Amino acid sequence: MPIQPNLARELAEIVGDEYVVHKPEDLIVYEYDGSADKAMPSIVVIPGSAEEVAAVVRLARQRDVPIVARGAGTGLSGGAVAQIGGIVLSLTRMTRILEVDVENRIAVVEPGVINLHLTEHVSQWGLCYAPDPSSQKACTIGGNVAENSGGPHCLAYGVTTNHVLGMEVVMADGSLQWVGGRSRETPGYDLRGIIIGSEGTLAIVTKVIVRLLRQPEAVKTLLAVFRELDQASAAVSGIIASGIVPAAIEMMDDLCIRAVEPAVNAGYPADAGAVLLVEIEGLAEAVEEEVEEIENVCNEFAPIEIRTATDADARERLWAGRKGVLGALGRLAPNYLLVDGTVPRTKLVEVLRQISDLSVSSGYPIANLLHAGDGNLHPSVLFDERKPGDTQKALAIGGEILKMCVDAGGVLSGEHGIGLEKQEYMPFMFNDDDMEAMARLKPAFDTRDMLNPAKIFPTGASCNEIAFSGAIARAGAGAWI
Amino acid sequence: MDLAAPMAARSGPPSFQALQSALDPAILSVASDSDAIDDVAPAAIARPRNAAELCLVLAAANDRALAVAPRGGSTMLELGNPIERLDLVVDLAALNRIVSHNAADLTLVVEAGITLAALRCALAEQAQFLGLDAPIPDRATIGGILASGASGPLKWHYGSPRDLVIGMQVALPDGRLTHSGGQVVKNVSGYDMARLHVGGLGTLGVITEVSFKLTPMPRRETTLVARFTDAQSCIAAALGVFNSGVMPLAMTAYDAAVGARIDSDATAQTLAVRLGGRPRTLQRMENETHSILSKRSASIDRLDDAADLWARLADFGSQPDYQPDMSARIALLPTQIPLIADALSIDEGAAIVSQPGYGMINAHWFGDAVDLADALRRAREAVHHAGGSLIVERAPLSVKAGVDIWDYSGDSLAVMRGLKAQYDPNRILNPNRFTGGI
Repeated sequence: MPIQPNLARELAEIVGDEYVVHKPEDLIVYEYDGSADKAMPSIVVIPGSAEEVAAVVRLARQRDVPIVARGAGTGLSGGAVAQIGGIVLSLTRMTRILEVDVENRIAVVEPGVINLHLTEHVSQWGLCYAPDPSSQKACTIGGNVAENSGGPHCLAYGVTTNHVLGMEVVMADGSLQWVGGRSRETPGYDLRGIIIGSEGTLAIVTKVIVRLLRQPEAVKTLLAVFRELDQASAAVSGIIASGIVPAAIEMMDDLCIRAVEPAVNAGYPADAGAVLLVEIEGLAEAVEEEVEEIENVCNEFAPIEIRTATDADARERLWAGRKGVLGALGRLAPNYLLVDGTVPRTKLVEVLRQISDLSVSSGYPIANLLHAGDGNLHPSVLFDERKPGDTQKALAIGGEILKMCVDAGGVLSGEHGIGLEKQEYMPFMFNDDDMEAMARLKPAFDTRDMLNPAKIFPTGASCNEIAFSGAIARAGAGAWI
Repeated sequence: MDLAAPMAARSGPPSFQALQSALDPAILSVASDSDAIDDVAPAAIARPRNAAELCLVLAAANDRALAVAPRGGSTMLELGNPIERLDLVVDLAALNRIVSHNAADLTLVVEAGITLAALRCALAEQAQFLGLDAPIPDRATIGGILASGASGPLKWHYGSPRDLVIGMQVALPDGRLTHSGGQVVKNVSGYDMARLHVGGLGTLGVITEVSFKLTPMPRRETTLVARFTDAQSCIAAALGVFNSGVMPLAMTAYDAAVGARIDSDATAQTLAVRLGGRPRTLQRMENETHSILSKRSASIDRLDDAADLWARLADFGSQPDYQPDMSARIALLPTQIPLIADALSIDEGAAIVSQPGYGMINAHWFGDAVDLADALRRAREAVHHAGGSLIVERAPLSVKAGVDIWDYSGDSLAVMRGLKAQYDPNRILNPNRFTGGI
């Protein structure tokens, strides 16, 4: 989309010259997010207040230019990519924590606040913000709201929508409105709930009221190493069946272990086929009782070893292998395609076996990382983008894996969203009536389809026709999923 | 089926015979006075036997612009602004199957007409349960509970009903059956459509099927019941528990007027704290809770089986044998609870139940000692001053006619009306009953 001649000047009148980016060499930073997709925005604007956001939206509406809201750009499905050009509206200047109501355990924050900063800030009162996406050192609360982000600990605590009570939003007509509120229930349709996870297509969030939790009194991490993936999967089912809801249950397969061991020296045995990482939080007594029971469950499946840790440093060492996997996959192949799908927990073994068969039949290695407790799979298809056709092949394998997930009673995305990455796969899961019903939401919020257009729903292009730009996860150094 | 001209220009409600020609007679019956909603009697009751039949009923009603009220167990039928017109009640009682219960996955799919009690029964066999304790479980249906936003004391621990729903199937007024979400606990595929229907009073579509995430039953349970001489000590003790490391399954405070009706103790303010967990954990929580409560309370009883007490507390205000004349659902910040509970309790005939940790008061008014319209006005004023909202759950029609039942004061009414226009353009579903006359 070509830039309109006066747009830069008019935007500068709203936010100031220094917060309008329009030179091609500067715009390139905003071309992509953490996903494989990219598109060049016409212009980037970085407002400093809700009122400025509203003014930008009103101007864009007058000029008929689409707007894509953007947080830290760590999203993994293309949500922040300006697919058809237009204005990218970055919320990274709005980083204030406006209020912490310790007694009622809520905080009011601007959308650009970094997830981890919020938890660090409220820790002085013994509180924390529960959703902890693995990009939490970089990702913003506003982005979390757009994607309804989870995190390894959402098994016990739930995802963003369970922790956001209300939001101030700028609607597509440029009006500022509050949805939800400070109390747990508010009258009217749950606009809060429908906007959360709508991937920036319904409104732009300018303030967020979040629930805070008390920091757990005790935390214990248990690492169990198994010879076979099936044993680890069976242990996961056993833990869930025992009635325990750990804060997190993470799993990785032998390929991940082979990649990460030389990089991190986690001390995994050479014959390890799967590593299970379980974190238990709560009252000291509850942690003790539950860890005992989890050890018993794991012992039923002939683990090679079990380690536990309670203090922060020792726990971090147990996590180091898990958190280092994504960075270490580069040792096995130049590129990887990170897939995100969820299946019913009892289908993990079956789907992992299908993925393994697909790996053999296609000749592409697939490394499996899992938020196993909630059935969320992250297979990574290893490939080399320098080989002609390799990228397309990897993407096709990714699509096949998602089809397997849906066929097993699962879903297209557990935590990364649909965005651009999966819009053509939506018919795997939803029929025309389902999608039409979802699409009818949009005009009630955004009559002119101005906010983050051309996302979520299929465009009709076949998956192979989409111009992917070399599917390299750009999550960056130190990132983990 | 007769799909004659739309009835937009009709002169009055259709006769039963007219409906018989439009709808499948096998599922249609004549309505009686007891089927009236807000004193408006429908011409007929349709009892579809499955979702496909429901869709046909809705499509036919939509073609003729017939006003439809979906109905579950009739426990919350008084909720909402007075209905504008009513031709047909659609009773969902026959959609009462458990579609699937995958115990190992802790997920459950049920049809909307199943009662909460029937659902609990099926889950109890596997030592699982749904953290939802809406009133009158043997009559209240899942669809009705979700549409009306009903809940009970367990919501503090297990979350609002909307947080338990992982997928939903909804019949739209045009007769299309649509689904969203799934049967997994972590899912961000497409818009989370169920959010619109939980608390939406069936004004955008009719819930036909719901997927839930389940919870294992706590290994053991104990309830501590503490009596206090005054409300302030009671709520202060409750906030003490709220701010401790103890995470109760539920914590409910109630006044003497409630106590007199549920446990014959009319002399005190009471706080019931429901604890659950494995043996050592439970012991620790019990000790800690006991020590917090004992600083202020006159007496503390320990109940190993308090199922009856919790059922009575959840049902309070909805039970047919002592139904209040007016009831309100008040959402507040936890710290505002004492002030408002105090302000409400001065009315003669008032009975107050509160969830101090969650931030909710259920206020009820019995008898004619107080001018209900005036009591409501005063209650709202106090609640608004404290930054909360008050939904009238039940009131005489004369009171309902003069107030905004929903207390929505936000800026998004245009969006809400836009949603109604998108999903129910002919306004056939519960016309006028929702906020803003939606």
